[in-house]
Amino acid sequence: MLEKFDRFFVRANQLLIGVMMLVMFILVFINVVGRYGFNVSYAPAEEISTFLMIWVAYLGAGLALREGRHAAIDMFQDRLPVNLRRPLRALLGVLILFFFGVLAWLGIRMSIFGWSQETIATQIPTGIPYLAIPLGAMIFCMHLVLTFKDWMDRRWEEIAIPDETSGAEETAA
Amino acid sequence: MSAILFGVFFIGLFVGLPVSISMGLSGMAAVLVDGRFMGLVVPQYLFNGISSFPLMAVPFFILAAEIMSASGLTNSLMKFANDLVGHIRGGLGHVNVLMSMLFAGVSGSALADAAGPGAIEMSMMRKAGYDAPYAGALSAATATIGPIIPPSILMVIYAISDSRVTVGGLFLAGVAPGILLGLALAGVNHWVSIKRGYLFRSKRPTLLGLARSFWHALPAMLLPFIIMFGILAGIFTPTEAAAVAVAYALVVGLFITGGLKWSSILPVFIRAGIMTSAVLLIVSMASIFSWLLTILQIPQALASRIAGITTSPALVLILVAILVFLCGMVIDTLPALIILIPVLGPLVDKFGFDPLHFAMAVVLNLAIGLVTPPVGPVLFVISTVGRVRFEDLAKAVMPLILAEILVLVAVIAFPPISTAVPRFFGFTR
Repeated sequence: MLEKFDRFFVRANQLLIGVMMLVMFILVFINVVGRYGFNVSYAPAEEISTFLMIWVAYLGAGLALREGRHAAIDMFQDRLPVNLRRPLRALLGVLILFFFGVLAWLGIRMSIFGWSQETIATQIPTGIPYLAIPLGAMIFCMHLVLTFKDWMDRRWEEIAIPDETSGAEETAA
Repeated sequence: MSAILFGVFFIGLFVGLPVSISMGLSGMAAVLVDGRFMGLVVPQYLFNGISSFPLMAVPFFILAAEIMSASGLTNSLMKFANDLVGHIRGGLGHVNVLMSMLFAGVSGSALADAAGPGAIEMSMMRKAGYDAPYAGALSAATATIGPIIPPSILMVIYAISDSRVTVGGLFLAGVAPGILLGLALAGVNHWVSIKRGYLFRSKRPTLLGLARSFWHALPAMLLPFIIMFGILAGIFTPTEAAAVAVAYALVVGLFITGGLKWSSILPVFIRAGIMTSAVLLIVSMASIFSWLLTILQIPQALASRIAGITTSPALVLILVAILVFLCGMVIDTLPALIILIPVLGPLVDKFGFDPLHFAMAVVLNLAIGLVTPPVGPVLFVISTVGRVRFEDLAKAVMPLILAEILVLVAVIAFPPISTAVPRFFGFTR
């Protein structure tokens, strides 16, 4: 049950990131073509694509965590005996949950605060793009809770398409 | 306030908290405990720190490189490099260097080079008989060319953080130092090959064979020229040039080489999105950290401290180089860059350095930090991917780092190495 939900959660999150990247690219590219090819440009494109980038950054952070892409210095941990390393990483995990928890709370307050203002080009409430931070923080916490054991053991997943290096071995041979 | 900021940051780093979260947590703790500012400034700075259209060049460069790799163009580049220099003594080592220079034109990051082509080069060298630590060390060292030869993610972020330089100017400034790095590493490889009696020549290709592999690699090699042409001609901003590069990579992959399947487009975008997230999270979290640094007036204090030690610009450059090198040794490159720019910026004005020259020296210095132990992110990647012991790798990489430091010294001592090319194209910053 939980495993099924986990798979669904990851898949939905991936799809969201991929589509946002795609829309971001299409907006900027069409705007370039329009401006230089046909002398027309869609003014809000820059703003919307920038917001999409911020959404990708925060909503993708949990997936990056699962893949072990958040660079850290493991030197100290590696020198600890294994039976001390796991408790330390558990403690760090709780600290990270606390950090993103506070961030989500502050972010919600910022979104509420920004609801009465409008963005410059698109004129939507500023609170909407601001939601990237609290939503991203909550999704990050979900990913960390769901994979907390893997986090303690530094076991990372390969959740995007298969790594290029695995294909690379074949071409090298 | 500074005690909390630095205390939390360094303890967090030491015990293995991700670098981005160390910066965010220490910034948040400093703001909340100090109480002078509302807690709301935390998410606000995190948001505004990456709310920048120029910054979007970063995800697009990541995307373009991912599409190129998924299209199999990395293999074409490798084949071409092998045909061109594989028959020289220590051939695969030279292929390794050349490949990194070619790949640097497609990708803007050293980690991408290390994890992709670097890993392939390493396994090829090992199969040919080079010993594993040297093969790994060379793959790691050559990966540092990635952020020096344009396009470069580090340089985009540098230019966004410091208005004294432009992305176009900085890209051009990297051309000559990038080539010098390649030559220096090829030189070390030649020396090692003689010393250890490595021969390993591959068969010299026929002229027709060489022409064919050149033709296959051409689409990938054109990419940096398209980006640079667009920026230099004033047609595109760097972000737009990067988006055009993505479109170009898609067209090449789908229609010209046919290596990219329609069904793999979404996975490639997802992959690039996850990589983007990891990079931008650092930029975002660093913005609250560097804002607090300026609130605490640390840059000014440091500038006047250095001005108190010496008034000679040359000595200042040396001091800065040592400071940056030490930072690069213990912190990751990107956060080091974002933290250092506001700190070092005042020195440029105070001592009248050429901003492009200064920026190039800092970027090159930090790029070398990517392979300097104890904290060399590229070394970590190579040691995990290639299953080489970190200690062995660290030892084998030493002569290569020495060669890179020589290049750095040359770049610091002779400003024209970095400023001549941009000047030629009319960039003074």
